Amino acid sequence: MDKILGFIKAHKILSVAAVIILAIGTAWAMDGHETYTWRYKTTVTLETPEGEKTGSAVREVIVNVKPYPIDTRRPYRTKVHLKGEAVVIDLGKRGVLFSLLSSGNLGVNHGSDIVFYAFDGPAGLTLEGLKYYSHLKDAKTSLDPKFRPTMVMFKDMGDPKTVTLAYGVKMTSVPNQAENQYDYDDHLEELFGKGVKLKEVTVEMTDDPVTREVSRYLPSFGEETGYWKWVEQLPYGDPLRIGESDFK
Amino acid sequence: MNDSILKAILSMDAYNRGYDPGISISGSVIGNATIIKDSFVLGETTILGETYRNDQLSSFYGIAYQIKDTNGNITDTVISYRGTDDPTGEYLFDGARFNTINAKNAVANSMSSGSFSTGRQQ
Repeated sequence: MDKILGFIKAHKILSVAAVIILAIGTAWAMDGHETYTWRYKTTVTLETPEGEKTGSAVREVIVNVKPYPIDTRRPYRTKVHLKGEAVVIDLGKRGVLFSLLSSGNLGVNHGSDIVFYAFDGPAGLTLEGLKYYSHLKDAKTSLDPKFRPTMVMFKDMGDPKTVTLAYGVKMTSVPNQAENQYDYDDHLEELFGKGVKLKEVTVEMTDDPVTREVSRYLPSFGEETGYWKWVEQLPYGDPLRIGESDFK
Repeated sequence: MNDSILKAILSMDAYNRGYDPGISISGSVIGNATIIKDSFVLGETTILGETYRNDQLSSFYGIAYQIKDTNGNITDTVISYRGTDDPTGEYLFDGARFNTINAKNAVANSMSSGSFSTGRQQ
Protein backbone atom coordinates (compact mmCIF):
# COMPACT_ATOMS: atom_id res chain seq x y z
CA MET A 1 0.00 0.00 0.00
CA ASP A 2 2.85 2.37 0.95
CA LYS A 3 4.51 1.63 -2.37
CA ILE A 4 1.34 2.50 -4.26
CA LEU A 5 0.85 5.74 -2.29
CA GLY A 6 4.51 6.62 -2.87
CA PHE A 7 4.13 5.99 -6.58
CA ILE A 8 1.02 8.20 -6.76
CA LYS A 9 2.80 10.96 -4.80
CA ALA A 10 5.85 10.85 -7.06
CA HIS A 11 3.61 10.81 -10.10
CA LYS A 12 1.77 13.92 -8.87
CA ILE A 13 5.01 15.79 -8.22
CA LEU A 14 6.28 14.94 -11.69
CA SER A 15 3.01 16.03 -13.24
CA VAL A 16 3.09 19.38 -11.42
CA ALA A 17 6.71 19.88 -12.47
CA ALA A 18 5.83 19.10 -16.08
CA VAL A 19 2.96 21.60 -16.01
CA ILE A 20 5.23 24.30 -14.54
CA ILE A 21 7.91 23.67 -17.18
CA LEU A 22 5.29 23.72 -19.93
CA ALA A 23 3.80 26.95 -18.56
CA ILE A 24 7.19 28.66 -18.41
CA GLY A 25 7.97 27.51 -21.96
CA THR A 26 4.61 28.72 -23.25
CA ALA A 27 4.98 32.06 -21.47
CA TRP A 28 8.48 32.44 -22.95
CA ALA A 29 7.24 31.74 -26.47
CA MET A 30 4.10 33.89 -26.13
CA ASP A 31 6.19 36.74 -24.80
CA GLY A 32 7.89 36.89 -28.19
CA HIS A 33 11.13 35.21 -27.19
CA GLU A 34 12.89 33.43 -30.00
CA THR A 35 16.10 31.45 -30.28
CA TYR A 36 18.34 31.24 -33.32
CA THR A 37 21.11 28.68 -33.59
CA TRP A 38 23.81 27.73 -36.04
CA ARG A 39 26.97 25.69 -36.09
CA TYR A 40 30.15 26.30 -37.96
CA LYS A 41 33.33 24.35 -38.46
CA THR A 42 36.62 26.20 -38.48
CA THR A 43 39.69 24.50 -39.90
CA VAL A 44 43.29 25.64 -39.61
CA THR A 45 45.72 24.34 -42.24
CA LEU A 46 49.47 24.50 -41.81
CA GLU A 47 52.17 23.71 -44.34
CA THR A 48 54.95 21.67 -42.79
CA PRO A 49 57.96 19.76 -44.20
CA GLU A 50 55.93 16.58 -43.50
CA GLY A 51 52.98 17.86 -45.55
CA GLU A 52 49.81 19.74 -44.70
CA LYS A 53 48.51 19.43 -41.14
CA THR A 54 45.03 20.48 -40.14
CA GLY A 55 42.91 20.86 -37.05
CA SER A 56 39.21 21.61 -36.82
CA ALA A 57 36.58 22.52 -34.28
CA VAL A 58 32.80 22.71 -34.55
CA ARG A 59 31.17 25.48 -32.54
CA GLU A 60 27.55 26.39 -31.88
CA VAL A 61 26.21 29.90 -31.56
CA ILE A 62 22.92 30.36 -29.73
CA VAL A 63 21.18 33.74 -29.82
CA ASN A 64 18.17 34.42 -27.62
CA VAL A 65 15.97 37.30 -28.69
CA LYS A 66 13.49 39.04 -26.44
CA PRO A 67 11.12 41.92 -27.16
CA TYR A 68 12.25 45.35 -25.99
CA PRO A 69 9.42 47.64 -27.10
CA ILE A 70 10.75 50.65 -25.20
CA ASP A 71 13.36 51.00 -27.95
CA THR A 72 11.32 51.89 -31.02
CA ARG A 73 14.36 51.88 -33.32
CA ARG A 74 15.27 48.32 -32.39
CA PRO A 75 12.46 46.78 -30.34
CA TYR A 76 14.30 43.66 -29.29
CA ARG A 77 17.43 42.59 -27.44
CA THR A 78 19.70 39.61 -27.99
CA LYS A 79 21.86 37.43 -25.82
CA VAL A 80 24.63 35.45 -27.47
CA HIS A 81 26.05 32.19 -26.14
CA LEU A 82 28.89 30.20 -27.66
CA LYS A 83 29.47 26.49 -27.23
CA GLY A 84 32.80 25.31 -28.49
CA GLU A 85 36.52 25.43 -28.15
CA ALA A 86 39.88 26.32 -29.67
CA VAL A 87 41.22 24.38 -32.64
CA VAL A 88 44.05 21.98 -31.80
CA ILE A 89 46.66 21.31 -34.47
CA ASP A 90 48.85 18.48 -33.21
CA LEU A 91 52.19 18.66 -35.00
CA GLY A 92 53.62 15.63 -33.21
CA LYS A 93 57.20 16.15 -32.10
CA ARG A 94 57.08 19.74 -33.23
CA GLY A 95 54.44 20.55 -30.61
CA VAL A 96 50.79 21.51 -30.36
CA LEU A 97 49.31 24.70 -31.78
CA PHE A 98 46.09 26.17 -30.41
CA SER A 99 43.94 28.47 -32.55
CA LEU A 100 41.92 30.38 -29.95
CA LEU A 101 38.32 31.53 -29.59
CA SER A 102 39.64 35.10 -29.63
CA SER A 103 41.44 37.27 -32.15
CA GLY A 104 43.24 40.58 -32.37
CA ASN A 105 40.48 42.00 -34.51
CA LEU A 106 37.29 40.72 -32.84
CA GLY A 107 38.66 40.17 -29.34
CA VAL A 108 36.90 37.65 -27.12
CA ASN A 109 33.82 37.77 -29.37
CA HIS A 110 35.69 36.10 -32.24
CA GLY A 111 34.18 32.66 -31.61
CA SER A 112 30.59 33.88 -31.58
CA ASP A 113 30.85 36.60 -34.23
CA ILE A 114 33.25 35.32 -36.89
CA VAL A 115 30.47 33.95 -39.09
CA PHE A 116 29.10 37.50 -39.48
CA TYR A 117 32.44 38.62 -40.89
CA ALA A 118 33.28 35.48 -42.86
CA PHE A 119 30.19 35.54 -45.06
CA ASP A 120 28.41 38.32 -46.88
CA GLY A 121 24.95 38.83 -45.46
CA PRO A 122 22.81 41.07 -43.29
CA ALA A 123 24.26 42.51 -40.09
CA GLY A 124 24.58 39.70 -37.58
CA LEU A 125 22.48 40.67 -34.59
CA THR A 126 19.53 42.06 -36.51
CA LEU A 127 16.44 39.86 -36.87
CA GLU A 128 17.17 39.71 -40.60
CA GLY A 129 20.75 38.64 -39.89
CA LEU A 130 19.76 36.02 -37.32
CA LYS A 131 17.27 34.45 -39.74
CA TYR A 132 19.88 34.51 -42.50
CA TYR A 133 22.77 32.97 -40.56
CA SER A 134 20.59 30.37 -38.81
CA HIS A 135 19.47 29.10 -42.24
CA LEU A 136 22.80 29.45 -44.04
CA LYS A 137 23.85 26.07 -45.50
CA ASP A 138 26.65 24.81 -47.73
CA ALA A 139 28.70 27.93 -47.18
CA LYS A 140 32.47 27.76 -46.84
CA THR A 141 35.12 30.44 -47.07
CA SER A 142 38.76 31.11 -46.35
CA LEU A 143 39.05 33.87 -43.77
CA ASP A 144 40.47 37.22 -44.71
CA PRO A 145 43.84 37.23 -42.87
CA LYS A 146 42.78 40.20 -40.75
CA PHE A 147 40.07 38.02 -39.16
CA ARG A 148 42.35 35.10 -38.34
CA PRO A 149 42.28 34.00 -34.70
CA THR A 150 45.13 34.34 -32.25
CA MET A 151 47.29 31.19 -32.11
CA VAL A 152 49.45 30.09 -29.19
CA MET A 153 51.54 27.17 -27.96
CA PHE A 154 52.90 26.14 -24.57
CA LYS A 155 56.66 25.73 -24.34
CA ASP A 156 55.99 23.48 -21.33
CA MET A 157 52.65 21.67 -21.72
CA GLY A 158 52.44 21.39 -17.93
CA ASP A 159 52.83 25.10 -17.22
CA PRO A 160 50.26 27.62 -18.53
CA LYS A 161 52.70 30.46 -17.81
CA THR A 162 54.82 29.26 -20.73
CA VAL A 163 52.08 30.23 -23.20
CA THR A 164 53.72 31.82 -26.23
CA LEU A 165 52.26 33.74 -29.15
CA ALA A 166 52.60 31.77 -32.38
CA TYR A 167 50.43 33.89 -34.68
CA GLY A 168 48.57 37.09 -33.99
CA VAL A 169 46.88 39.93 -35.81
CA LYS A 170 47.33 43.39 -34.41
CA MET A 171 44.74 45.97 -35.38
CA THR A 172 45.70 49.62 -35.20
CA SER A 173 43.43 52.55 -35.85
CA VAL A 174 45.17 55.04 -38.12
CA PRO A 175 44.10 58.69 -37.87
CA ASN A 176 42.69 60.11 -41.10
CA GLN A 177 42.63 56.73 -42.80
CA ALA A 178 39.48 54.82 -43.58
CA GLU A 179 40.99 51.36 -43.13
CA ASN A 180 42.61 50.11 -39.96
CA GLN A 181 46.15 48.87 -40.16
CA TYR A 182 46.76 45.16 -39.60
CA ASP A 183 50.13 43.75 -38.62
CA TYR A 184 50.79 40.03 -38.55
CA ASP A 185 52.94 38.61 -35.79
CA ASP A 186 54.03 35.24 -37.17
CA HIS A 187 56.34 33.06 -35.03
CA LEU A 188 55.32 29.67 -36.43
CA GLU A 189 58.68 28.81 -37.99
CA GLU A 190 60.55 30.07 -34.97
CA LEU A 191 58.49 27.90 -32.60
CA PHE A 192 57.70 24.80 -34.71
CA GLY A 193 60.65 24.67 -37.12
CA LYS A 194 61.61 25.81 -40.58
CA GLY A 195 58.94 25.29 -43.20
CA VAL A 196 55.98 25.47 -40.79
CA LYS A 197 53.66 28.10 -42.20
CA LEU A 198 49.99 29.02 -41.87
CA LYS A 199 48.21 28.25 -45.13
CA GLU A 200 44.64 29.23 -44.31
CA VAL A 201 41.81 29.31 -41.82
CA THR A 202 38.42 28.34 -43.17
CA VAL A 203 34.90 28.70 -41.81
CA GLU A 204 32.13 26.39 -42.98
CA MET A 205 28.49 26.14 -41.89
CA THR A 206 27.67 22.64 -40.65
CA ASP A 207 25.24 20.44 -38.75
CA ASP A 208 28.03 18.33 -37.22
CA PRO A 209 28.12 17.99 -33.42
CA VAL A 210 30.12 20.44 -31.32
CA THR A 211 33.65 19.12 -30.77
CA ARG A 212 35.19 18.60 -27.33
CA GLU A 213 38.87 17.81 -27.76
CA VAL A 214 40.90 20.65 -26.34
CA SER A 215 40.76 19.75 -22.63
CA ARG A 216 43.02 16.75 -23.01
CA TYR A 217 45.77 18.97 -24.45
CA LEU A 218 45.51 21.86 -21.99
CA PRO A 219 47.55 22.41 -18.84
CA SER A 220 45.71 23.25 -15.64
CA PHE A 221 45.05 26.96 -15.14
CA GLY A 222 44.34 26.37 -11.45
CA GLU A 223 45.40 28.60 -8.58
CA GLU A 224 48.34 26.31 -7.80
CA THR A 225 49.97 27.27 -11.12
CA GLY A 226 50.16 30.99 -10.29
CA TYR A 227 48.82 31.68 -13.77
CA TRP A 228 46.50 34.55 -12.85
CA LYS A 229 49.20 36.38 -10.91
CA TRP A 230 51.44 36.00 -13.94
CA VAL A 231 48.85 37.12 -16.47
CA GLU A 232 47.85 40.10 -14.32
CA GLN A 233 51.27 41.67 -14.73
CA LEU A 234 51.06 41.64 -18.53
CA PRO A 235 50.28 45.08 -19.96
CA TYR A 236 46.80 45.84 -21.25
CA GLY A 237 46.61 44.89 -24.93
CA ASP A 238 49.22 42.13 -24.69
CA PRO A 239 47.96 39.27 -26.91
CA LEU A 240 48.91 36.80 -24.16
CA ARG A 241 46.41 38.28 -21.72
CA ILE A 242 44.26 35.20 -22.20
CA GLY A 243 42.60 32.67 -19.95
CA GLU A 244 41.05 29.25 -20.17
CA SER A 245 37.94 30.85 -21.68
CA ASP A 246 39.97 31.57 -24.81
CA PHE A 247 40.38 27.81 -25.20
CA LYS A 248 36.95 26.48 -24.19
CA MET B 1 42.95 68.45 -22.79
CA ASN B 2 40.50 69.68 -20.19
CA ASP B 3 40.37 67.27 -17.24
CA SER B 4 36.56 67.02 -17.27
CA ILE B 5 36.48 66.28 -20.98
CA LEU B 6 39.13 63.59 -20.58
CA LYS B 7 37.16 61.93 -17.78
CA ALA B 8 33.97 62.11 -19.85
CA ILE B 9 35.81 60.35 -22.68
CA LEU B 10 37.16 57.72 -20.30
CA SER B 11 33.66 57.10 -18.95
CA MET B 12 32.60 56.18 -22.49
CA ASP B 13 35.75 54.24 -23.22
CA ALA B 14 34.68 51.39 -20.91
CA TYR B 15 31.92 50.59 -23.40
CA ASN B 16 34.45 50.04 -26.16
CA ARG B 17 36.89 47.74 -24.38
CA GLY B 18 36.91 44.18 -23.17
CA TYR B 19 34.17 41.74 -24.13
CA ASP B 20 31.21 42.91 -26.24
CA PRO B 21 32.72 46.29 -27.13
CA GLY B 22 30.53 48.92 -28.73
CA ILE B 23 33.16 49.73 -31.31
CA SER B 24 36.49 48.09 -32.03
CA ILE B 25 39.35 50.36 -31.11
CA SER B 26 43.01 49.75 -30.49
CA GLY B 27 45.66 51.30 -28.30
CA SER B 28 45.93 51.84 -24.58
CA VAL B 29 46.61 55.58 -24.36
CA ILE B 30 43.96 58.31 -24.52
CA GLY B 31 45.37 61.79 -24.13
CA ASN B 32 47.53 61.60 -21.01
CA ALA B 33 45.62 58.59 -19.63
CA THR B 34 47.09 55.11 -19.92
CA ILE B 35 45.15 51.91 -19.33
CA ILE B 36 46.73 49.98 -16.49
CA LYS B 37 44.25 47.23 -15.73
CA ASP B 38 40.81 45.89 -16.53
CA SER B 39 38.38 43.44 -14.98
CA PHE B 40 39.81 40.51 -16.94
CA VAL B 41 42.06 40.07 -13.91
CA LEU B 42 39.02 38.92 -11.90
CA GLY B 43 39.64 35.48 -13.39
CA GLU B 44 37.33 32.82 -14.71
CA THR B 45 34.79 30.20 -13.68
CA THR B 46 34.10 26.87 -15.37
CA ILE B 47 30.47 25.75 -15.52
CA LEU B 48 29.54 22.43 -17.14
CA GLY B 49 32.74 22.34 -19.16
CA GLU B 50 32.48 25.91 -20.47
CA THR B 51 34.78 28.56 -19.05
CA TYR B 52 33.53 32.10 -18.58
CA ARG B 53 35.24 35.34 -17.60
CA ASN B 54 34.02 36.34 -14.14
CA ASP B 55 33.36 39.92 -15.20
CA GLN B 56 31.24 38.74 -18.11
CA LEU B 57 29.35 36.31 -15.89
CA SER B 58 28.43 39.28 -13.71
CA SER B 59 27.62 41.45 -16.74
CA PHE B 60 30.21 43.90 -15.48
CA TYR B 61 33.27 45.46 -17.04
CA GLY B 62 35.70 47.85 -15.38
CA ILE B 63 38.89 49.47 -16.57
CA ALA B 64 41.47 51.62 -14.76
CA TYR B 65 43.63 54.44 -16.16
CA GLN B 66 46.61 56.28 -14.81
CA ILE B 67 46.82 59.96 -15.63
CA LYS B 68 50.20 61.62 -15.80
CA ASP B 69 51.25 65.25 -15.99
CA THR B 70 53.68 66.64 -18.55
CA ASN B 71 56.61 65.60 -16.35
CA GLY B 72 55.43 62.01 -16.26
CA ASN B 73 54.24 62.13 -12.66
CA ILE B 74 51.10 60.16 -11.86
CA THR B 75 48.45 62.68 -10.89
CA ASP B 76 45.29 60.61 -10.85
CA THR B 77 43.80 57.15 -11.26
CA VAL B 78 40.44 56.86 -12.99
CA ILE B 79 38.17 53.82 -12.96
CA SER B 80 35.54 53.59 -15.65
CA TYR B 81 32.93 50.86 -15.64
CA ARG B 82 29.76 49.60 -17.25
CA GLY B 83 27.19 47.02 -16.26
CA THR B 84 25.00 48.66 -13.68
CA ASP B 85 22.01 49.47 -15.87
CA ASP B 86 20.69 45.92 -16.09
CA PRO B 87 21.02 44.28 -12.66
CA THR B 88 19.66 40.99 -13.94
CA GLY B 89 22.36 40.92 -16.58
CA GLU B 90 19.96 39.18 -18.89
CA TYR B 91 20.58 41.09 -22.08
CA LEU B 92 23.27 43.52 -21.12
CA PHE B 93 25.46 45.23 -23.70
CA ASP B 94 23.43 43.91 -26.52
CA GLY B 95 23.03 47.42 -27.83
CA ALA B 96 26.79 47.85 -27.86
CA ARG B 97 27.38 44.57 -29.65
CA PHE B 98 24.63 45.34 -32.10
CA ASN B 99 26.43 48.49 -33.10
CA THR B 100 29.68 46.68 -33.63
CA ILE B 101 28.27 43.92 -35.72
CA ASN B 102 25.73 46.02 -37.55
CA ALA B 103 28.28 48.46 -38.78
CA LYS B 104 30.95 45.78 -39.21
CA ASN B 105 34.12 47.69 -39.98
CA ALA B 106 32.46 50.96 -40.87
CA VAL B 107 32.36 52.15 -37.26
CA ALA B 108 35.97 51.27 -36.62
CA ASN B 109 36.87 53.07 -39.79
CA SER B 110 35.08 56.22 -38.73
CA MET B 111 36.97 56.05 -35.43
CA SER B 112 40.26 55.91 -37.26
CA SER B 113 39.38 59.12 -39.06
CA GLY B 114 39.41 60.88 -35.74
CA SER B 115 35.76 61.07 -34.67
CA PHE B 116 34.98 59.82 -31.18
CA SER B 117 31.26 59.45 -31.20
CA THR B 118 30.15 56.11 -29.84
CA GLY B 119 26.62 56.29 -31.22
CA ARG B 120 25.85 53.58 -28.72
CA GLN B 121 22.36 52.40 -27.92
CA GLN B 122 21.15 50.25 -25.07
